[in-house]
Amino acid sequence: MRIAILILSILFINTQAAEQDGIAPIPKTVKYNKNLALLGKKLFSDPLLSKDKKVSCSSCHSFEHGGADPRSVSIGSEGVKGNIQALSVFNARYNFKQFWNGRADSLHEQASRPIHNPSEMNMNENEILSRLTDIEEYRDQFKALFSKNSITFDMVVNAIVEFEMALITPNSPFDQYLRGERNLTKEQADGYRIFKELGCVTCHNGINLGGNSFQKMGLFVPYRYDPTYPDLYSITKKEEHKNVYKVPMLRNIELTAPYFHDASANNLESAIALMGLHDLGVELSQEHISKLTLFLKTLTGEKPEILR
Amino acid sequence: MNTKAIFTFVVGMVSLFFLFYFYLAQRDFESNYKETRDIFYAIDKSHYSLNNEILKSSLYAYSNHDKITNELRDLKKHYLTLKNHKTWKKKHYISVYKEISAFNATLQSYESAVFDFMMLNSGVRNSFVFITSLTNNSLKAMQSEPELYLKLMPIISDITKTRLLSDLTFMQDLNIKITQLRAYRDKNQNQLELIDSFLLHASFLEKNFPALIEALNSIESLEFDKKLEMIEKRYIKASKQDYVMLDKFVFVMVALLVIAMMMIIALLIRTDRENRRLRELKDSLRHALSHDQLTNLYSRRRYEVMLREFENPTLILLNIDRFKHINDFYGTDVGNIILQELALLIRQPNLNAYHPSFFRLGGDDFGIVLQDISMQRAELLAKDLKRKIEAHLFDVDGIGINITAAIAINNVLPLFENADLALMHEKDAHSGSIILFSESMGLKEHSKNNLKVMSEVKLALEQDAIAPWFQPIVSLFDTQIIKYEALVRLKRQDGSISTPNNFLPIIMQTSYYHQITIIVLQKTLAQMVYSNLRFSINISMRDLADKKLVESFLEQLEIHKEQAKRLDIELLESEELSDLDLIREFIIEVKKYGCHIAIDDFGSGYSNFSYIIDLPIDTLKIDGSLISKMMVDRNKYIAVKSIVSFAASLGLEIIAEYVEDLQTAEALDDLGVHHAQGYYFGKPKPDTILE
Repeated sequence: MRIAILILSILFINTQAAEQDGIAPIPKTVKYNKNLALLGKKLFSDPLLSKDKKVSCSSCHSFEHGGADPRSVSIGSEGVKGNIQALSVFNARYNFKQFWNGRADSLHEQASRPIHNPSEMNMNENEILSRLTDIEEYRDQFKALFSKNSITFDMVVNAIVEFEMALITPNSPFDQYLRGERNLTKEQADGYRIFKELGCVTCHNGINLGGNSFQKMGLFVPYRYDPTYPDLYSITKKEEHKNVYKVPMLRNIELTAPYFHDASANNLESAIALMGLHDLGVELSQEHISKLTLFLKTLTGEKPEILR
Repeated sequence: MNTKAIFTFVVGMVSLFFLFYFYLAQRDFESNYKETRDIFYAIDKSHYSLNNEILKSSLYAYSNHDKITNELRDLKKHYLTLKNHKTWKKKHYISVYKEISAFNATLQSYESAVFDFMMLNSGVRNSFVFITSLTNNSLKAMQSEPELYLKLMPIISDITKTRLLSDLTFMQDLNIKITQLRAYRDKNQNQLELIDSFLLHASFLEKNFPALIEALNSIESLEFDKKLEMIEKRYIKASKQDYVMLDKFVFVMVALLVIAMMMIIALLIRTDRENRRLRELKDSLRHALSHDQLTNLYSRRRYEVMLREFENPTLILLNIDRFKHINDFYGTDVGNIILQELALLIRQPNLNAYHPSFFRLGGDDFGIVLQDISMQRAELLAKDLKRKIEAHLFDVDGIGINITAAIAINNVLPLFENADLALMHEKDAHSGSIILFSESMGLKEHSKNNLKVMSEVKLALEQDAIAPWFQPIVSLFDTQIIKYEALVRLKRQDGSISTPNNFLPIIMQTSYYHQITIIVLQKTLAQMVYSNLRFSINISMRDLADKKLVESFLEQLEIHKEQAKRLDIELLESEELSDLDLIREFIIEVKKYGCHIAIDDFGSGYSNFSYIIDLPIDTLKIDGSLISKMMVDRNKYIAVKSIVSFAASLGLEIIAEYVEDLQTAEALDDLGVHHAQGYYFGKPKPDTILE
């Protein structure tokens, strides 16, 4: 017992100590209801949830692309194009709000939106429920998990959210560094120093290195404004919220190209240069850019356990 | 009594229910109150932590926005918990609930202000860092170009001071300085890049640092905590209404409790009073048991108890002569008054030396127990008492009544029983003097004999050994048998025959008497079937008061209707005066069956001519004691003669009994007696003679 307490306290101290400069590592494991999450996983990849039965959640949140969409805009049911670049579903549980403009406070709120969105899956609840009820496997699984004879939309969302809660990418080299399990290479360490020195860290901090505040795209040097993108202004109608988006997280950033809401950067280097200019008011040198790139690549974690 | 107990129970239960309800309501209120206060506290704490994080992020180089957003999430969660709390469902919290709902706007503004602050804070802080590092990086350039140095340094100074002191007044001239630098930029092409970057950040700060301060102020100006505190105060105030309600509840409860308590006290008092009354009743019952109600003398029961404590007791037993007659004649009320007066009278002061105790031992039996007294002395005192009683005029409603009393004295155990025996003996003897009990009197043997007779009768009844014998009654004219008198006989175990004088007086008071009367009637009626003559049977006038006996008697007549026509009923006068109406009623009843009525033993002790005049009788039987002695006793002869002439004048049939010789028979014939019976004509014989 005493030893257990000792170990626990060391672990606790370690995780506490692992936070550095406002950045915290992703926990190695998280608890979730496995069966529910597995059902969510199936639903997540099931095109039945879209009107034409061709698009699933995973069509735009590709597990091979850091949980994001490699295309500049997502293409929904019946080929309808979306209006913004899809964000990663990995580690989304740590985001303070969901969507680019943070219009959903929780994953629960988020999950049902694309299903209803005409430019995404374009479905209504009843249609989904009748489709799922038609399939014996789903009927059985829902019954086993919820002890109810009929499937409700809430159950569907709950399963998907449980799956999303399981989608964490732990043990990235940087997290290992934070936990003192390894050293960064000189270039990576330089990159991290520059990351802090230039002020990237003022917005990209916390567990996800972002995803926890709003920021204006073009804080120093104005960025082109296109009202078709759903920014914070589209919600608040405050002038100063034009081009304001949720600061994207940097976890698995090397996998989630293209970058920015408008997919204006196809690779990390150009994304870093763009950010430097518009939001730091600095024209970054090639050296800085390459070192920052090396640092950002240390943020790529393991594939979520549930997908392995 | 019962309804009061039930009422008390109900009041008690209601107050218990109230108590329980109060307990639940109070617990509910307490837990709600505690919960809501806890939520208020949690919101306050979250808000405080949030402000703390905001402050930290504005001061520290690195800050983790997660902390702010997580704290915000907690704050919103707490707010929702508060808003959805069940407390607000109560009416008097509606206004508080409205305020809490309205507070949502403040919360939204607060969140938005925090996000805005975070947004600005990042940029401003980056610019500060940038300008600081830019200064460092461009030291060389500034060394070679002092003018550039002169242009940059004031700006750096202003910005640094403003930052360090968070005082915007240090930025008042920044605008001019930036304008000067911008003018200088056109002159200095060498450091264009440096100057441009510097200008970009300086003007960013010039514009955004005040905005940041403003953002901080706007968070402050929302007065989040003040509003929350206000709502909490309102809530606490409103919750006092709950207390008022609880107070009212307590009042009602206490009132109920007081009522229930008062009821219980009342019940207790009542019970106590009831108990006292019961105790009194018990005492009076005990008194009643040990005392005679009427005379207030000690009772027979008390006598039995006291008997054990007496030392050398002598019992003077006193019985009023013919008391039944007094009751019958004057009514029991008068009898009772006499008993009461006598009870006082027997308390003679001259008895006091012998520790007297006075008892009413039976209907008209009075007992005086004296202790340590000789029989002679007791006899003297008893004589004195008897004299005083008989001299006393009992005054009842102006009527003076004299009584006589028989007294027996006994000091031999069993005290009462022996005295009683002696008294009965005295009553039979009618000596009129005081009788002293002694073993030599053989009274015990007498009573033993009585018991023997009783068992004899019982056995005889069981074995059907009781039957009528028949004595012929003949006509004095031609000595022809004209009828038979049925006389009861008892056949003993040894075959000897017992006559009624042996057993009838002894069983008079028992149910055997009734049985024997009916058996004789029944068997006589049965016997009559074999004869054409009339038969007579005997019945005492006193028996007619026995309704059951009369009933059984008439029943037999009904069964043997034919024989009843030839039945004579000889009524025997009895010592106690019988109700003439009762006798008349009986005669009318039996005459319906054709029975004749005779008066038996006329001319003995109590014979009353009024019977003969008042009652519709047919026959007169002259008492045997007159007949058997009429030839030797002149007075008796005259008595017979006058009875005969009296009866003859009334047209009655006259019969003489105990005719034992011819001389008597002839004399009777001469006197005009119609019929006679006696050993001279024939002894009573069992039924066989009739065959």
